[in-house]
Parts: sequence; C-alpha cells; structure tokens
Amino acid sequence: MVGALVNMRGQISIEAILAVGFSIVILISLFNLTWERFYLARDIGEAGEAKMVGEVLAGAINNAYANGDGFRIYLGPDVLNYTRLGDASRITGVGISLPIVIDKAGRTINISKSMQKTGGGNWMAAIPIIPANISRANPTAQYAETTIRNSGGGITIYAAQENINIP
Amino acid sequence: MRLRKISIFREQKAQVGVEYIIIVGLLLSMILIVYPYALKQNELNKALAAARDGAVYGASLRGMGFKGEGVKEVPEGIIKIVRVEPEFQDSITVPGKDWYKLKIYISAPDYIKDNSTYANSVRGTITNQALSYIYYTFNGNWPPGGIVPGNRVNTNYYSFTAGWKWV
Repeated sequence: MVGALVNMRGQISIEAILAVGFSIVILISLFNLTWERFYLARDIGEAGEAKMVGEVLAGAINNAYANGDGFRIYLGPDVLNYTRLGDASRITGVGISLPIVIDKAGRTINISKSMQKTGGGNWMAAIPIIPANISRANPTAQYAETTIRNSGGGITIYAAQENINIP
Repeated sequence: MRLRKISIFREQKAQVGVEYIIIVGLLLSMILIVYPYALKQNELNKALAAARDGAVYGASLRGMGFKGEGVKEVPEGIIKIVRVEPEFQDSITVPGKDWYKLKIYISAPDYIKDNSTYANSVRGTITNQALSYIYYTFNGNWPPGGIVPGNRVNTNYYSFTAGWKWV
C-alpha cells in the first residue's frame, strides 16, 4: 500500500498547471474586448451592405427614369434578396429593417439598420434619387419582384409592401 | 521494520525543489505589490481601447451616411479617427478618481469640418459612441437610450470624458 503511494505521480507537472492557469487568466481578461470587436466589425459590415442595397435600388430607379417610357429593370433575388437582407435567425445579426422606405417628397430611399448588438437603436441612411413620381404595385406574372418600370408618367416598382414601402 | 519505514519516507520526493518554491514565493509577493498599479493601468488601457473602437464605429457609420434617430443628416464622406490620446485633467470633478479627457483626433472632408452643423453632429456621434463603448466595457450593458449620462463614465479609478480635435 505504501509502495503504491510512492509510485503515485501527478499526471502533469506543476509547471504546466501554473502555465495553463496564467494563460486562462490572461485569456479571460481579453474575452470581453474580443466579442465587442466582433459585433463592431459585423455591424459596420452590415451597414455597408445595407447602403449598397440602397445604392443598387437608386441606380435602377434613376436608370429607368432616364431611359424613358416602357424601359424596365429586373432586380432578381441574386441582386436583391429580401429574405437574406432581413434574416435575423441564421446569422444572429439583425440585417436591414424592412421595408425599405422611399420618400417621394424628399426624393430619397431610406435604409434602416438595427444596431441592437452595439447599443444603438436604428441607424438610417438616405440615398438621393432623381424622380419624384414613384409608385408601388404588387408583383405580377409579367413583372416579377423586383421590377422597376418607367410607365411614361412615372416609375412603378413591383414589390411586396413589406419589402418596399412608398407612403 | 522501523528502518524500512524511514527509507520509504525518503523515497517520497517532493514534486518541486525548494529553490522553485522560493522563486514562486518571491514572484507572488512582487505580484501582490505591483497588483494595484497594474489594475489601474489596465483600466486606462481598456478604456482607451474601448474609446478607439467606439470612435471608429461612429466615424465609419457617419462616413457611410448613416445617422441615429433624431440626429441631423450629414452627407457621406471619408471620416477617419487619426488617434485617441488620454489627456490628464489637473482638477478633481469626481472625488477619488483621476479625470482623463480622451481626445479624439478626427479627420474629415472640408465640407463637413467647416460646416458647424455637420461638424457638431459628426463629432457628437463620435464622442458619444466612444463614451458608450467605455460605458459598456465597464458596466456590461449599453447606456440607457444610447446616450451616456452626463457625458462622463466613472470607473473604479478614473473618470472619463471625451474631447475632439479636427485634423
């Protein structure tokens, strides 16, 4: 029995225990800061994407306006994917707050991005557009979501109201 | 029998030598002496890192043309944080705490810098975000309503405010 006790050795040396212990203390002190930076980088990135979406839409509207009656541009799901934009569950980010609001009087596209993870409420960006006479219609078989069409008198956007809203 | 017991006892070796114990003991006493100073310095470092993050966050979003709720709109432009410097203030506002003003050096285009409405709005966002991030780092939650109470964050050893300089 005594012999067994003598043969009992620690599985790792005390140096290793000390080294691991110190590393854990240092890592814990950095942990808070690291998550903070992750959220910061992600929110700024998402804000950039939100702005890009607004620019794409503004570009399409301006083009349809400039090209005259009957001209239309189709922004398919590859370009403008509302499900992915507003996706909150899959990447735990908050994406863009839909709908995208078009202010006819101010001639701007208003993008709203929720910044819950980094303390802010909603941050908005306004992207200027040229035409003021814009209306929305539900998508049809002929004009799928999202089609922007110059109908002579103005611009019609075919999209669901929960995606693009023109009050 | 007695002899055998003693020899067994002698075979039991300690895991660390006495020199090691002395060194560790000395190290521990040194750490104990330095600990309060290290803690204080660590707090300042954490606050500076947080302020820098917050300022960059605010500058990036305002640079992209985003604005918070109830904030004036500013045209987009390249807004950058050049550096953040802690400035010790030689007066006591909060008893028992050293007051540091974190001076944020902001670079922005002239049409923002020279327009007092734009400039005030942008530097307001940047200083508030910098303080928000310090608040979050030391309190674990974001300031209520996104605005730091009294534009001042008090930690264990310090009281932080934010300043700015256009460069």
